[in-house]
Amino acid sequence: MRFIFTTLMFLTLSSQLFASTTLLFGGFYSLTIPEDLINEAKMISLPNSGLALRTSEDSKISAYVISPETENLSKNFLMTSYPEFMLGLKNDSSLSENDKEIIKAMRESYTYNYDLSSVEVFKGDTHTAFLLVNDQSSTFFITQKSADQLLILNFENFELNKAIEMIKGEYHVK
Amino acid sequence: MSSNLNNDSLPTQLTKSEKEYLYSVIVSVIGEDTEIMLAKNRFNVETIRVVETILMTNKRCNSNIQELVVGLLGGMGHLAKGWLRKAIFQARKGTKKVTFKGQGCAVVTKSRWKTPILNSTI
Repeated sequence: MRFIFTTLMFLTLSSQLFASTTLLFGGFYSLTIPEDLINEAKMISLPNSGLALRTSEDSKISAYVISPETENLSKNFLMTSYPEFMLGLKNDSSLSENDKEIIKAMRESYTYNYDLSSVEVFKGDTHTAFLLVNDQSSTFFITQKSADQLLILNFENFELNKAIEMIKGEYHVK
Repeated sequence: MSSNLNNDSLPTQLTKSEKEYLYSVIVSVIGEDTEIMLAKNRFNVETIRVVETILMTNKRCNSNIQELVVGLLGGMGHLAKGWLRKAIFQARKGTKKVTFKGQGCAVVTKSRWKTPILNSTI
């Protein structure tokens, strides 16, 4: 009897400890959020299949997808290369003038908040994550092989290590 | 731009007219946007901070934005962090309203900043 009670207690506690909610973004991406971040959180929908939530501890997590269509880029633009061009990791001489201008303007918009020279890259078999960090926030650009969409994930007032672990676990990158 | 304006004496809640004014600044930079317009009632000091960053980022992108910033600054003439909160507060007190509309870089600016603007309202 005691064994059954202990097992039931363990299962109940486990389901509470490991409960989570999976959010879907666009046609390719998801993010599994631990239940403790969802409890008492406020959420709003964002454009581009996006969602933002403010946790009860005033951290913010937001995510949305971009594609060549949403960014007015050439239809054949490879979104897997977008972060490399935008962060200056790849030479943009192969791009059309229009694409170059758009990428350059986007790069400048991130330069104000982040030091682009200190980008960190996490690679996996199918996904790659590019990370920018400043004092208040961290932004991940996540690509998936064969996907024509890219996920942009932003964490504010959120412990960097936790954000990195969340991304590593979700996308199997290291 | 390392200094910060002390805005402690300014109210932390925005009045309806301040929210309207802030929306007009946003429209000046990225054009009319239904979703942002619908979120207008939730604008707050964090939204102002985001918009200030947009203006500062786009000063280099578009010289018209520089003109908009100068208009908003009025007599302040000093771009310390927090200047837009003060500019918006002064606008409520009767400073000439800026009706300038810049188009350049609008596509990228909208793509980059629409989400942070909406994100600031939760």
